Amino acid sequence: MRRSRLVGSRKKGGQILLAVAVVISVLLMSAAVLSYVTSVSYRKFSDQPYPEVITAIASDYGNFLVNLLADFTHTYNSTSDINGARQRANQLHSTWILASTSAFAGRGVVIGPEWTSSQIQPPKTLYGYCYPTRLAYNLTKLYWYQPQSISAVGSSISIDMPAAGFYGFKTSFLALLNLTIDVPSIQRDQGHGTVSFRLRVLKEEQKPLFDLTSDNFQVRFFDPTATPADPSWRVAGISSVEYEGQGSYFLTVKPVFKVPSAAVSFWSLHYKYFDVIAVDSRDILVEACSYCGLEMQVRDSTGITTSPGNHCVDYVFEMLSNATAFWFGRKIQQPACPPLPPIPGRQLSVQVEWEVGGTPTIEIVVAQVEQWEPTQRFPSAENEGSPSRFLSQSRLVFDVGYPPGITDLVLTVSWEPDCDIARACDAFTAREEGPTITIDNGHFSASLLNTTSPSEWQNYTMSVTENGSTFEYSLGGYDSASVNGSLLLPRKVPCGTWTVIAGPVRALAFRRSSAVMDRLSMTVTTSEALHETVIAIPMGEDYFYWQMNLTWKIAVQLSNKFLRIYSVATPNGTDFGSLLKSDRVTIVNGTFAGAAMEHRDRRYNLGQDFSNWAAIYSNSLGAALIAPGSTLSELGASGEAQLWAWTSSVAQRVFEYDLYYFRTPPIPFTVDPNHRIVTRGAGFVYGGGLAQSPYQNDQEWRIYPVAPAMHSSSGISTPNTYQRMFLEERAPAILSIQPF
Amino acid sequence: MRRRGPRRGQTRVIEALLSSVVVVVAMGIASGLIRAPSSFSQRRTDDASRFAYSLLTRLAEADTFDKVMFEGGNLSAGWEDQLKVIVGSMLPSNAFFNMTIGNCTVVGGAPQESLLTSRGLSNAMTPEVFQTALGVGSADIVYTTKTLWILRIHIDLAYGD
Repeated sequence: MRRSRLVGSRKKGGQILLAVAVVISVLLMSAAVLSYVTSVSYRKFSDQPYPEVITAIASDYGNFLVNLLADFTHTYNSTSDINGARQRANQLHSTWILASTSAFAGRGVVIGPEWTSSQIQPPKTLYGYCYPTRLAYNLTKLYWYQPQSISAVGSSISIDMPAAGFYGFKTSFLALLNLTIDVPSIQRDQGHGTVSFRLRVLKEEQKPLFDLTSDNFQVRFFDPTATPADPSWRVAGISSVEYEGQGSYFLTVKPVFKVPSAAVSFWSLHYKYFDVIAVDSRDILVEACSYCGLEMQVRDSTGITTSPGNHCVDYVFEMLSNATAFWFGRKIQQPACPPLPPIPGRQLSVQVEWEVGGTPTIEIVVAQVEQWEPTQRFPSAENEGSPSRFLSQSRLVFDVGYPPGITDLVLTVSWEPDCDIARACDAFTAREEGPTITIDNGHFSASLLNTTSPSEWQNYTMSVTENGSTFEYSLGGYDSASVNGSLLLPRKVPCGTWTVIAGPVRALAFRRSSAVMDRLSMTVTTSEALHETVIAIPMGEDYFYWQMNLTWKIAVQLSNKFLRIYSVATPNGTDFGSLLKSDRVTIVNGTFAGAAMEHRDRRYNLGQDFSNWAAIYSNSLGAALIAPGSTLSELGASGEAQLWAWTSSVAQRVFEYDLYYFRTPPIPFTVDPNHRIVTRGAGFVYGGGLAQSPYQNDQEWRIYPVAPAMHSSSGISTPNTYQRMFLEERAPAILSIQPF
Repeated sequence: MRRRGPRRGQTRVIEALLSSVVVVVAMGIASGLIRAPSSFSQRRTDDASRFAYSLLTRLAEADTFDKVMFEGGNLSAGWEDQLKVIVGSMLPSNAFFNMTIGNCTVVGGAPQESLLTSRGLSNAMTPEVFQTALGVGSADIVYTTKTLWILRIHIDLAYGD
C-alpha cells in the first residue's frame, strides 16, 4: 500500500511540473503579446507628428485671416461694394477650408470653421459722439468713416483627427486695426499752408503699431476752389510723421488746392474736416473721418402745414458733395458748411426730427445717391453702375416731409460707420412696354414715350394715369400746320429715348437729344434743336417736376409763330378749368362744355394775365400745371405768351403755357438761335372738384352760348395751396448747419 | 520489480527536460516579442517628420514663400532656385529634401491643386537617396500668401549617414 501510494504521488508530481511549465509558458506568451500590441499601438500613434500638423493648420488660419482682412479692406476701399467684397471674402474662406482639408486628408484631419461674434469695443463717447458697442461678426467687419474707425476679422476653427482618436482642438482668432483721429488736436498753420493733427493706431489687444511711416497714411481734404470738372477732394502731401509712443503719431500735412490763393474758406472752415486712410504693415486698411455728420435746421416757408386742413408737405431735397442743397432744381438758401465726405454714398444716412408739445419725433429718411454730369446740370448715364464714393458728381437725394403744424425740422445727415448697413427700401420699377417706359410711383403710373419711330408716335411726352383716368403732359413743341381742316398743334415736337434711374426716393427720366418729330411729314429731323429734359417723379407723391433746356442749332424758319412750353390734355368729361391770374390772388373758373371751342383765347392773354398754376378737373379727378417764377419770366420776356385753354378735335381738354401764342392765320417766324429756352415746371394729379354758378365776370373766361360761367369751385384749393411748394420766394431754407 | 526504478527515474528526467524546454522556448519567444520593433529606424523617421514641419513652419512664419515666390502678386522669375538655396541652407549637410508646391483653388465646389513647381525642388542627386536613407520624414502645410494664393507645400526629408 505504501509503495503503491508513493508511486502514484511521483507520477502526479511529474504531471504538475508539466502543467506548471505550460501555465508559466502561457502567461509569458500572453504578457509578451500584450506588450507587443501595446508597443505597436504606441508606435503607430507617435509616428504621426500631430502637434505639428495642428500647429501648422492653426497658424496658417490666423495668417489667412489677416491676409483676408487686408484683401477685404482694399477691395471695399476700391469698389465701395461691401457685398461684392464680402462675397469674395467668403469664397476665399471656403477655398481655404477646402484646400486645407484636402491637403491634410491623408492624415485624417477634419477642419471646422465657426464664425464667432465677439465684442471689439464697448459703448463709449468720444469727442461728443456716442459709439455703440462694436462687434466682430460675419467673419469680417468694418466700422469706418468716424474719428474712431476699426477693421476687424474674427473666427474660430476646430480641428479633429478621427483616425487617431483625437478630438476637440479649437482656437479663436481676432485681428483688427483701430485708427483714432484726435479731433481736438487738429491745428492749422495758414502761413506754412499746413494742417497738423494726432492719430492713434492700434491692433488687437490694444497693441500699438509703431512702424508706420508717411507711406502708411493718406489724408484727403476738400478743395473749395475746385471747379465742377475737378476732383473736389484732394490728397494732401504729408510733410512729417512723428511717432510719439503708444501707437500715437503726429502728422503734419499740406493740403492741395486748384487755386491756392482762393482757398480762404478752407483756412476758416474746411481744414477741420478731412478723411484719413491708414494701412499697417499687414496691409490692413482702415478709413476714418474727422467728423460724423451735419445737423441742419430747415424751415418750410410755404405756410401749407399751418394752413387749415391738416396739410403735409413733402420735399425731395438734393445735396451735393459740397453740401449745397437743392429743391426743385434750385439752390436752397443756406449758411457756409463743411462738405459731405468722400465716402461710399450708401453710407450717408438722413434723419429728421421735430417736436410737438415738447415731445421729439425722429424718423429715418429714405435716401438715394445719383450721379450727375460734372456741371451738375444733367444726370449722368453712368448711374446704372456699381456703388461708388460720394464725390463731386454725386447727389444725395432724400425725401423730407413736414407734418401738419410743423414748419421747422432738424435734418441730420450722418455717415454710417457700419459698412454692412443695408437699406431695405422699395425702389421704383421702370418697365418698357412697347414704345413706352412706364413708372409706377405708388400714386400714379407715368408712361414716357420712348421712341423716335413715326409709326409708334403718340401725341404726348408723358401720360399720367390715376384711377383709370389718363392725363397727357407734353413738354415743348413749335410751329403748326393744317391738314384737311385739322390743326397740328404743335407741328414739331421734341422726341427721343429716355434713360431712367429708378431709386427708392424718386425716378429720374432724362434725355439729351436732337430728335424732333415733324407731325406733318411724319419724319424725324435732328438739325433744328437740341433739347435736354429731366423729369423727376418722387415716390408716393402726387406730383412730378421737370426741367427742359432747348437750344436752337440753326435759325429755324417756322411756318407759324407758335411755341409751346408745357401742356396737359385731359380726357373728355373733365369739364372744369381754373387758373391763377397775374395778381396771384384772383382765380378764374370756367368750363369746357363743347368741343372745338376756345374758352380763353389769346385776346384775353395779350395782357398775359395768368400766373403760377392752371388746372383741369372733374368732380373726381384733376390735373394741374405749375409754372414757377423763372418760367413765367421766360414767358413774360417774349411778350407773346399765353395760358391757353382749348378743346382738341378728339374732345381732349387742354391747358398749355405757350411762349408764342397760336396765330391764325399763320405768321412765319425765324427763331433766334442765340435764344436758349430754359424752363421748369411741375404737374400733379389730385381729386378735382366742382365749379359752381353763378359766374360774376364774363371778361375773365370766354363765354360760349352753352358754356355756363362759374363763380366758385372746390377744385382750386389743392393746386392753389400746393403751388407754393414750387415758388422761388417760398423755397425752404436751411437756417443753420452744425457739424458734429 | 527492479526494472521499474530506473524507468521511473528516466521518465521524471524526461518530464523535467520537457518542462525546461517549454519554459525556455516560451521565454525565448516572449523576449523576442517584447523587444520594440526597429526602434532605431522609427525614431529617426519621427525626427525627420518633426524637423520637416519645423522647417516649413519657420519658412512660413518668416513669410519666405511670399517674399521669394511673388512679385506684384504674380510668381517671380527664378523663385524655385532661390527657394531651393534657402531650404538647403537650413538643413545639415547629410540631409536631403524634395519639395513640391501647389496652388489650391476651388472649381465648381471641388478643390483643385495646380503644381507650381515645374520640377520638384530638391538637393538630392538621385531619388534613391530617399530609399536608402536611415531616416525619412515628410510634412505638409497650407500657406496663404498676402495676395491670397492658398499654397499646399509638401516636403520629403531624408537623413543620410
